Amino acid sequence: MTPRRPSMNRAVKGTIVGKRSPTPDVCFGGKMPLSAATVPPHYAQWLVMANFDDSFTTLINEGYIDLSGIRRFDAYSVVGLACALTRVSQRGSVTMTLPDSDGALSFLQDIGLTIYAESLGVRLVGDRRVASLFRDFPRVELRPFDSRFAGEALANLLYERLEGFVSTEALVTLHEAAAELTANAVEHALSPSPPLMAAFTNHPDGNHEYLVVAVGDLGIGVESSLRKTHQVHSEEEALRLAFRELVSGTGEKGRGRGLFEVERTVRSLGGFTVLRSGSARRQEGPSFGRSYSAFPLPGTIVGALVPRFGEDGFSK
Amino acid sequence: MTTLSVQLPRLLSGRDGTRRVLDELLPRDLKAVTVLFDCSELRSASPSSVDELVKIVFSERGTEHASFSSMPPRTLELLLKSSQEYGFSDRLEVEHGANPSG
Repeated sequence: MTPRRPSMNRAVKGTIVGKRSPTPDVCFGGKMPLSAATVPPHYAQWLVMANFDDSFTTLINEGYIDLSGIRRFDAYSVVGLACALTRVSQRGSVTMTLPDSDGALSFLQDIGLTIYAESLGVRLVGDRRVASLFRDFPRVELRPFDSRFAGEALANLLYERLEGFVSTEALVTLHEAAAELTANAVEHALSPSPPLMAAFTNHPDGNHEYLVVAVGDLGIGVESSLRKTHQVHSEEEALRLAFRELVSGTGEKGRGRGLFEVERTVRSLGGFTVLRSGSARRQEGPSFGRSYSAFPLPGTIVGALVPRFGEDGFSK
Repeated sequence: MTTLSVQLPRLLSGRDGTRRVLDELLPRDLKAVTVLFDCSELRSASPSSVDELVKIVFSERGTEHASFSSMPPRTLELLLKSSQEYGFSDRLEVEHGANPSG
């Protein structure tokens, strides 16, 4: 018998200020934002890299998270959920209502979010009897890591698992992204709990055209990290700076190339990079880079969405 | 001048891993050594790992000359960038060969 869901107040006050996200064109592979008229009505049922910050605030209320209406996740939103669960569970009990959709539930189970949530003591509500729909799709399940060595091992694992499933260019780009983003999380975040990484396709119902690799932590955030070596006055300014070449919190010569190179190669394949830290978010894509407000969450979450068969000729 | 030939692994995924690999393959002092890097097995190397390789081989261990063969084009791009950044471009030689990787 499915337990009764807790009553939810979906409106959370004061968590978003400033601009809202543009239409989430990254979900459809387009290079320019779509008009409102072309947004599919079921978009409200997605929790993915492009809309995570806007949508998550409507799903969380104190210690309750309601995912019952969500039909699509990706690795970024899973890492984001895991970070939020980690944070909220440190403050008290947490109840999370699982998705009604079999595909979405299977996605969460196959990527390891439900196991991770249980390890935090989160109470899961909903029927969990669902077949594994993604066992044939290569992925890196949600995993904590606590050293650069462990992050490098995850990057290697991602390469080995995705080899043959994506184009060479996409594979190299995803490997580089995993390697750089995990290293950054360990070296710069000073996170009180281990950072998390996951990589998976972004589509739970058959169209596996994109892959997302995401890394999250609950550390000091980009602004505090860069303040050691740069004059930054806001989180938004820090995020813009973080994407520039040779900008690093270490101050060492030659450092600060990782995120710059990741963003550049992801963009060259027609993909997108999202970096959120504290209460700001920046999205870099083929035709634009924009900053937005985000709901406040300590630490940093960074994700790269790469077309599975992306190719820009850098290996030619 | 001594010449050492070493083969890089399939993947270089970060600074720690690169240092570990080079510690296994190369002596600490490369001042009178030419190093030939065989990259035919290399499939992918992160920007940080390439940067660390340049730093270790040229700056820390002081090799006068290093040659890289069959390097994937993407890794080569990173190698040239890092060696230029540190001012070691003139100590670098690249032999082009088939490597299907990015």
